[in-house]
Amino acid sequence: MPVPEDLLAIMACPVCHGALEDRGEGLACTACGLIYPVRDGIPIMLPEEASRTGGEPPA
Amino acid sequence: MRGRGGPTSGEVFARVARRYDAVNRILSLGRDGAWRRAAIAHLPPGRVLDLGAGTGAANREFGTRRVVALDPSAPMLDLNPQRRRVTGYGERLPFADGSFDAVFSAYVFRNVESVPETLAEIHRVLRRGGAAAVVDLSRPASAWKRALHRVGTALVLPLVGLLARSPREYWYLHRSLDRLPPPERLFGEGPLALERLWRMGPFGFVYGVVLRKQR
Repeated sequence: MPVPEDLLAIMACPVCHGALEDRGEGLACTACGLIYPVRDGIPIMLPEEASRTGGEPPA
Repeated sequence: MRGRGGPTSGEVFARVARRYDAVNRILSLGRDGAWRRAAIAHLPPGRVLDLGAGTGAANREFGTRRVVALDPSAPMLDLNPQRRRVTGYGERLPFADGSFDAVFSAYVFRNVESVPETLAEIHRVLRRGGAAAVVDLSRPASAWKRALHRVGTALVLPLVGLLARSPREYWYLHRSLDRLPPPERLFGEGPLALERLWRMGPFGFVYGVVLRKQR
């Protein structure tokens, strides 16, 4: 289930407020690189659940 | 919404998710919807953030507004029929500046980890001239009513907790009533302007506030 487009349009990274893009594996912040998972169309925008590219946990 | 020590409010609400709305309806003698409605009536039309939306108990009160439901608890959001749902914290809203005409939050502020950070975030995501409405439980304003109310919730909430088969969670709710200063102080320090404050319910232990992001 995709994230509704009118929702994605107003969303931002909760850590740095950077813009997000839907990369299939999750919502990626174009500024800080954190990737937030999406489950059943619901983005999980919790910093502790985000990963870096390659699946590493954030520092 | 992230607790320090003991169960976090996220864990608490994940466990009570399914019974939470029903028990709260009973506790408020069916008035919880009317208290939400009274606050939402002060919000402008357009896009509204339901902060701490949970299972969507406020959904029917939003009229034609476009609702975004946010909650730290994924199990509660799973039960919310809104189309636009986001798991997130009030202290770190995952939205761009000025994204909302309105923010609504009911029965949530006792449970956020930081009220000042949450208010700063609400201020950030509101457009200029936008408004936030907050409804929550607190203690009554007068000293003797406050004392009586404290005894009352110490007796009643554990019983409700037994009925809901989660006594620890309802004891947590009793304790949470004394966590915060009264709403006059809580919302009187900005960054949003306190435009309106009223009390509802028996002993006036439910408050509503309207906060404005001024031009």
